[in-house]
Amino acid sequence: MNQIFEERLSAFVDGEPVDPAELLEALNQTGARELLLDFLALRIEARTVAERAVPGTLVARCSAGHRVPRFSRRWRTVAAALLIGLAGLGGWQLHAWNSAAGRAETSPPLPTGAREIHFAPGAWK
Amino acid sequence: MERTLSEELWDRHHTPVFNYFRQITFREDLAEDLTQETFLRVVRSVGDYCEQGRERAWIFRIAASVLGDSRRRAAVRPRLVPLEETVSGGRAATASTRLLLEEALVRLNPEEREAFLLREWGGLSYQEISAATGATPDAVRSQIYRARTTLRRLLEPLRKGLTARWGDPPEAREESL
Repeated sequence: MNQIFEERLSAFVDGEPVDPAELLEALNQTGARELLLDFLALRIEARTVAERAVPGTLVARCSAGHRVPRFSRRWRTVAAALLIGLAGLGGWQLHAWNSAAGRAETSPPLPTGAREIHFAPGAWK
Repeated sequence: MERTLSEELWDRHHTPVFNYFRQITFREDLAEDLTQETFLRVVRSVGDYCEQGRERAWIFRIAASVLGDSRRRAAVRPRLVPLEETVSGGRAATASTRLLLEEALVRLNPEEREAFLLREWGGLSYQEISAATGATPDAVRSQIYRARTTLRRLLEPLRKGLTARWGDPPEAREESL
């Protein structure tokens, strides 16, 4: 089989457009079936190689099985509870401060002067 | 714990993308950087993705673009190292088909290897590979064909076994490797 026929079969394996008459001509050549099977077998083996992780590389260590530990749900829950608690405490403290300030503003004014009244016994008899 | 789309894309595709860069650059450190850059771009543009079912092709188009930018920035050229120090990590060749295939990939012409990997690993069409690499679609077609026939020749000792195993279920193939 010459190169032109082989190239047509290679393109056919890849799903590229090939003229049907030319494809038929290529398929009728001696060794066409064997060549097609070899191309397909090569594809399967090549794809297996593609998926093979290279041990020791950073990329391999970052694969699903070796994921860097993430902030777990449990710790996120604890952190959220702490934040809510702190926010509540802060709110309560703020309320207390505001209440104290409010009380200070509404207390009556201090006396500015005093008048002394002397009691005279028997005056109202 | 719910996972974001970006995390799922990373899990599904980071290994092939990394392997693609490693096969092209022959450097694991550079391949890691380029993989990281690719997924940064993926995360940034994940909202624009609308080609349902062609995730990997989309990511590989971004990867090819990252590689192109990297080459333009730093004039990256493959570091020439002895074959035994490359993808097999210096180990003696074993009967493993995968290792032999990786070593065979290294022997391909760089343009042929890139086109082949974008096709087989990325699932890009010839038109998309043409846009990513700057070669014409006809040149891409020839590059992929030549890559296949070269690999077929290099793997000749295993060829009969490969073809015979092809009809087996994946578990059987896995065990036989």
